[in-house]
Amino acid sequence: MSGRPGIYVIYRPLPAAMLTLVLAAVGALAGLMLGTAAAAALGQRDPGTGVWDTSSAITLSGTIVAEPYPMLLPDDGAAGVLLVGVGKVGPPQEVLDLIGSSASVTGYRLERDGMRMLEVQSTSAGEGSGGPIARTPADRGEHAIATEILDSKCYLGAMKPGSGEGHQACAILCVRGGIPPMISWSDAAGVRHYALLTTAGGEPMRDEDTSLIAEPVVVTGTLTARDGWLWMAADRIER
Amino acid sequence: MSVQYRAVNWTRHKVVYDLVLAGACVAFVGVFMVMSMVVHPPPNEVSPPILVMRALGTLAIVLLHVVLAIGPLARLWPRTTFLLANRRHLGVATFLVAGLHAFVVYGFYGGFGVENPVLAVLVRPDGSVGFEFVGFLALLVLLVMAATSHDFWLALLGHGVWKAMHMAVYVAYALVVAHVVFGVLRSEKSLVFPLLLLGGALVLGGLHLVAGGREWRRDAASSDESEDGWIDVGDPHEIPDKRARVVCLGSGNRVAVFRDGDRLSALSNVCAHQGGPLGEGEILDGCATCPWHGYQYHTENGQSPPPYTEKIPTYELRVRGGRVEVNPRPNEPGTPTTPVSITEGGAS
Ligand code: HEM
Ligand code: HEM
Ligand code: FES
Repeated sequence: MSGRPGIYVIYRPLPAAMLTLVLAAVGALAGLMLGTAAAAALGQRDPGTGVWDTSSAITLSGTIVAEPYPMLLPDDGAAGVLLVGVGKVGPPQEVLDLIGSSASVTGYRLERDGMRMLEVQSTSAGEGSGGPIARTPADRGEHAIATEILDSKCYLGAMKPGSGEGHQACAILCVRGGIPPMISWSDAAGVRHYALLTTAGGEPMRDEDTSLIAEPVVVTGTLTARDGWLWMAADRIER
Repeated sequence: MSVQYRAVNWTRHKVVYDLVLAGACVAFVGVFMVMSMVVHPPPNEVSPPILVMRALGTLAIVLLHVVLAIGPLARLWPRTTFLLANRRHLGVATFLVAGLHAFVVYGFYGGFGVENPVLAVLVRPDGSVGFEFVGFLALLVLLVMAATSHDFWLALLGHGVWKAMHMAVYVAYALVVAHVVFGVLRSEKSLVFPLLLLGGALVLGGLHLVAGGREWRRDAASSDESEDGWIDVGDPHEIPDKRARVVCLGSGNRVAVFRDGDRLSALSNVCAHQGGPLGEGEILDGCATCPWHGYQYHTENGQSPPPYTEKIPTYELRVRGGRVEVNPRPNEPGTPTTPVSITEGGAS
């Protein structure tokens, strides 16, 4: 009977006259899709310069402190290096056991704008080198800062951009697991500043404050400079 | 024709369709990743798992737009029904890509921590939920549709229920838009995202409005009744050979009046398979053939050729004064009718 259909029938050979239409329609759809892919990719915000160098571990020597977040104060006098564990957790017990002592810590470097962190792979007690180092905290006064609370590990480079609404669940998980929270803001001159965030008493951030992570908030408290970092002791965190 | 004939070739088209679809998806993720690295090269790169997740989420919402667009597109331009013939796979692909997007989110945003990865993503410690939960609801809707997509479910649930379930795709669409508005637009300042969302909504809304409006006008235009209740179909010579003219009966049912050479017969316009518009098909092998998936019906009795057993209602026709008229009362599905001749009845 009638051999050549004029319409497309799924179990029949495509009518020759329809091939052009099929190709054109498929081409147009594919073009639209790929154009959208390119546009969406181009629209993403710049995540900044953080690195997470897992290609080779580095070893740093210094003194381990925890006031309140575990940190290595390098023997060379450089700014403190935050110490965290593998995953969304604080450093392993072997680091905590060495608080107050000198040690060599091996791990993968995370770094952004000069702020350094080590994802600790191994730790060994140091040679007991130089005794307590001279540290002079400098009071930077009371401030009310409009900011977003970040988790330092993702933000420094583990999962960039590591900020914003989309990252909230991850950031909360990180901070609850022992990753130090930090805040970031620009001053009037446009210079970017960062501070590690503690409670008013200098303790790790409280659980009830974690619901405000990644939200636009105003943090009010006292800023202190110490160990190459700014610290914010927050009296109030408000939406 | 034999069962085998249908099965073998059906598979071939599906394979081509699926390969093109899979290729487009892979190309989409590739283009997204490459463009991302071009605009933000190291050390300013977005972390690769996040790029993958964003690429998959974006692909899922794009596929959802395609799924939603091809229905009205095929209504407006019947020659594009080839896009529709495998919509099921497109729907399932949408669900799978969205599921993969969620899986990557659970893995990287919820994983490596001190809590259950899924709960960590979906519920905040204070018990509240965020945009991820809205995405989760959308995924659930897509899951139900994909899981009940097989014709087995269609037969079990009946066409009405099944179609109503498919309308839930619009709920999924609304949820996905909310998911992106609350999850992404607050952090991403580029105008690209709101413009893409708005453009998508305008295209979809426009297509649906135009297609729906056309259908509505057609239905409203075609209900001229004779004194004994038969409905005017028009001049039979205006129906192209092997094609049909669709008229709307007062009851809202549509009937497809097919012309095969000199002979006319009338069938329900609703395909027994998934409710496709039979009247937009054509007569092949002496059977009215549905443009969606090619189910066939003998024009004179509404029965599928053996071994198939589908049956649809038939209608009585007459020709009076050079015009075809149809009796709006449907016959039981599969009832034989006598085809009328175009020239029958002569001039009155
Ligand atoms: C359980 C379900 C889901 C979860 C947990 C989820 C989670 C997420 C998260 C966390 C983001 C933010 C990504 C970022 O940091 O930029 C996101 C973005 C997105 N999601 Fe989902 N999602 C889910 C379902 C869906 C579904 C069903 C769709 C679409 C069909 C979808 C489409 C998108 C899109 C388009 C984006 C924006 C991507 C971009 O940033 O460019 N999501 N989703
Ligand atoms: C997976 C198996 C599926 C099959 C077999 C299937 C098939 C169909 C069919 C035949 C219709 C037309 C119903 C009618 O108008 O009477 C329909 C409606 C629809 N389905 Fe599905 N679908 C499937 C899954 C999905 C999924 C997962 C989605 C969404 C992502 C989806 C989206 C739609 C849409 C948008 C309509 C539009 C209704 C219209 O334009 O008339 N489908 N589906
Ligand atoms: S709806 Fe599937 S063949 Fe008609």
